[in-house]
Amino acid sequence: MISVLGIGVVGSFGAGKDAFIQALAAPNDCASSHYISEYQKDVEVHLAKTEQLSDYVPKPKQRRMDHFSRMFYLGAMDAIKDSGLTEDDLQQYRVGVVCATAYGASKSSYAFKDSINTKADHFASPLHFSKSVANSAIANFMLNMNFYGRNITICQPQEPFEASIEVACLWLEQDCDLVILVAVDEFSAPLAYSQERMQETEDGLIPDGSLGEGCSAFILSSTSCKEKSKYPSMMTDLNSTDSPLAFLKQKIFSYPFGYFPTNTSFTLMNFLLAAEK
Amino acid sequence: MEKFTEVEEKLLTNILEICQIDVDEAAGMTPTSPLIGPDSLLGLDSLDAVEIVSMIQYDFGVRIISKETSIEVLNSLRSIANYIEQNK
Repeated sequence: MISVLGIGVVGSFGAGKDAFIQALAAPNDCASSHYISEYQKDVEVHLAKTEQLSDYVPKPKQRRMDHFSRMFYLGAMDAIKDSGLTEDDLQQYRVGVVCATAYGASKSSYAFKDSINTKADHFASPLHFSKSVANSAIANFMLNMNFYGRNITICQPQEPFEASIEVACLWLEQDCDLVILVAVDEFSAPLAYSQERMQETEDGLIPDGSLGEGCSAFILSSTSCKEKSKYPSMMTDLNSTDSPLAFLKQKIFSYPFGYFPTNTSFTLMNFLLAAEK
Repeated sequence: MEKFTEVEEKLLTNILEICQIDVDEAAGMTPTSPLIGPDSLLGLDSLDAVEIVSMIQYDFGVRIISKETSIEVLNSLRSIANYIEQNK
């Protein structure tokens, strides 16, 4: 069995499950218009707000964190806060961290590529490079939290959250007491361009409407962890009807905070919030 | 308060941009404030130094050729401005 000890969420509504529930109940159009030079067009985007990260990380320490890492960090800390676990509590457990993302830190990756393309090889930006490395968001988080356990970023365009759940379940059955599972994707102009192209070619796979970005985080625990959960438990057997994957198969209600690849995780969150004890 | 020259102001603007530092954090900077290392008001380190060397070459057309020279040149905005003036 998996217990969910805490959940965290970041989006255009801000951070925290209360802000999420409030935004669902009273939708407020937080989308803003962004000009995409690749096809000379404005698109509507729900950009995530991460100002609350300062509650957890002093401002000088945030300088080396790009927007992707900021969303990740804020979502993970929000989930830890929701679980009621302190940093000392967490140190007693074998903690693993899994990041699910379709495209990773795409802004930093494109900025690094652009530093070479627009200038020259020897002008390649080390700062953009360090932020574009696949596991950089987890690295920022684990270094600051003094976690030394298993960690992985699963970066794949198709079903990254589902694949990450499989990894988390496996780790919980083997050698982790807790897994912090974070699903995150960020908006960038090239992605908006490619998503528009995919809308033209893949019927129904990517919905029309505004784009978005955000993060959802889950503190998952195995039976070896004695902490109490306020959310319903799920089965690690992924073929079970009570597994997290089964819940994800229920189609997401809509995309009130804009579409981004890993927001299928919001379906699981909705289910957990609705069943919160 | 020491006054910034035009080049020093441009250097500061570029450094704040490439190193992603808020303008407010540079409020106490003077042309001779330590730029990189533990005494840096902006908290810049060796990774930032590489970005700054790259920026100086691209934006000012002046190349800093050795590690020894860069340690000396990157001491402050004034020392960079002087190096640019002498080598352009």
